[in-house]
Amino acid sequence: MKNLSGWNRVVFCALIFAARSHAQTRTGSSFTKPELALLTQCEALEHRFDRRALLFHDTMLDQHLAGAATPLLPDLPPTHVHWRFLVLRDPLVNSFSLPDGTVYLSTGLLSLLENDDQLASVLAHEIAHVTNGDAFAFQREYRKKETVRSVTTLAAVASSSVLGGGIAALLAPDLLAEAIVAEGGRPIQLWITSGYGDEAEHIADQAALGLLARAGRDPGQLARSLDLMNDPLDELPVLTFAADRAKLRQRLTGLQTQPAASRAVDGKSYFAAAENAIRENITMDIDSRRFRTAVASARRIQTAHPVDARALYVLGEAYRVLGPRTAEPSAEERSPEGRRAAVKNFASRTAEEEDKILAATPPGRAARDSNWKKTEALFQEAAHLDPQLADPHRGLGVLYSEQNRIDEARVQYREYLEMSPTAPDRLQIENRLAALDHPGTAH
Amino acid sequence: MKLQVALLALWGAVSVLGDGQVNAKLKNGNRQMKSILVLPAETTITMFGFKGSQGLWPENDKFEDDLTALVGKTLTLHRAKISATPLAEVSAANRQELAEVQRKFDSVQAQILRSRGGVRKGRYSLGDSVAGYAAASSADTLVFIRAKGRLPVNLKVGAFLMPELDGQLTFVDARTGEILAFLEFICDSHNWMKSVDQLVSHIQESLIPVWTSL
Repeated sequence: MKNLSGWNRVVFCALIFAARSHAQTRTGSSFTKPELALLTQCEALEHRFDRRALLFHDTMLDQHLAGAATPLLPDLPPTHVHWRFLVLRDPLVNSFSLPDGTVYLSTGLLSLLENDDQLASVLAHEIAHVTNGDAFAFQREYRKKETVRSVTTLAAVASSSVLGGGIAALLAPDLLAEAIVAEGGRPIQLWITSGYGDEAEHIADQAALGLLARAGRDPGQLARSLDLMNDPLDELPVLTFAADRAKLRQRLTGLQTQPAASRAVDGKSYFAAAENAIRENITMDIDSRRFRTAVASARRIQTAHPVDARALYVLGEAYRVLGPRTAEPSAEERSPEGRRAAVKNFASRTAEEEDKILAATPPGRAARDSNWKKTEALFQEAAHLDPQLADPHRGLGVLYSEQNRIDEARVQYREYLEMSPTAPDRLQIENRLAALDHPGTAH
Repeated sequence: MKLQVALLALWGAVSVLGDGQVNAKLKNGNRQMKSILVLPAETTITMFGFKGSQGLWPENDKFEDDLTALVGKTLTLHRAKISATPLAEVSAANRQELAEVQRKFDSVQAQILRSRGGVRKGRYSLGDSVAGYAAASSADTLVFIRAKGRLPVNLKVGAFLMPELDGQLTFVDARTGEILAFLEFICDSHNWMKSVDQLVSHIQESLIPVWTSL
């Protein structure tokens, strides 16, 4: 394998992939009881996502995903596989597949990707996992390891029988950790957040390259999509497979022999299909303190619709919440130390505390003043472009209130309430107005 | 001796963590909770055994709905006006709005769990955008319920491995989004899965710090 390079390697891996795919064509009765239980759990997972309104439904996007995936699919689906491609409302960059053929992409990932070939590369990678039966292999391995671990733990507990049950559990940190497993139990949580293991991921990447080439896509876009994941604008303390730099670097190393993204791929059709998901993800990015990512997505939408009042409003709002930060992280912030510090600050400070600390520094103040100017200009332009749109007045009210321009804030809030008498946030704005009229009351 | 000291320190730490955290505003009697909206509970129940853990999704759904109703019923005993709608009864159209509020809470809860003491100082808030949550328009307080439960596949093994449920009730000001109280309850038997009513005494006990505010 080490002697192979470039496309020879792709062909070699494609052959392995094909062989493994063939091996997966099993009859229903050849599935073990735990494997069948896993398939049942996959069905329940979708119900669970749906119950919590986590599935993002958009006819155009759904059709686009199916269209991008179809040329990548094997001629015959493995047993128990019904291919489906769903979008999850989740600002974290992530994608995962279930052994029943359901592939989930997060809105955070869709906001990051640039074109259809990158989308296809993510889909191809997940399709390869399903076809390879990686979930079943992972589950088998997990159960073996857990059995050994449990026996060891039980032996430790038995040997310290003088201790009560509560203390016994302290001897078994791994079992205590079970208390924080995700709802699907540890195996599903692990492969959703951490991937299937280095070897399986490498094989899936190589298989994806073969599938992309077969479908007439640019295989170089797989590495490009990993590059995008490897350089996020915001850090989060949640480490998913797509945000784990060590694993991304390893995957990129595995792709080094491939040609780089060979041609500029037009991103227009991709953006048109994913636009609603990207728009919705901006709100989630803001809620999860991914302010820079929110600005980047809002810029993308505003670039596509330069005279759309709503797009201008969304960009203005993104700049407002960006506050004392720059739109792009500095070299220091991009360094490993900077990224670690960002994760630490995220976990230990509230958003308000962080804003306050940053705004107390000269660069923070400068960034905040610059962002405020941009915000005001964008809100005013939006209000000018569409005089019927109430949101820019709400935004100006919030901005002026932050800037202590109380009278102007009052005017804008009142205008918003007049223009939008049935706004869902009417109570919130009335509370804010009351707080402006009576400083010191809850705001 | 060293082990005894370590265990004592650990017991002390656990006791402190187990105490409810109440915002000074509530503790001083400056704030009363008269009309409470209990949001649908979000729980995670897993079954564990020698070969690892696996999910219990259908059971989880039912448990969430039962727990929501139970918390509502328990709070009603304290004379507050309560509205508790299990997720199964929330319309599909309203679920997305609810999901946004729940997501906002989850991001703040992660910080509360890291430093519970901040609740007393009024450090945490979901922001006043919670006032825009239509279902809460007539409420002055929102209650978020979270719980994690573990059930053994085999009860004999479970005797060793401590089946348990730990949950949190968080009271949030429906106007400002400020966290008013963060209360925790723990049940160290598996009876809660047979009937959620087994949790009544645990929930009542956890509510003691906010009784006077209800």
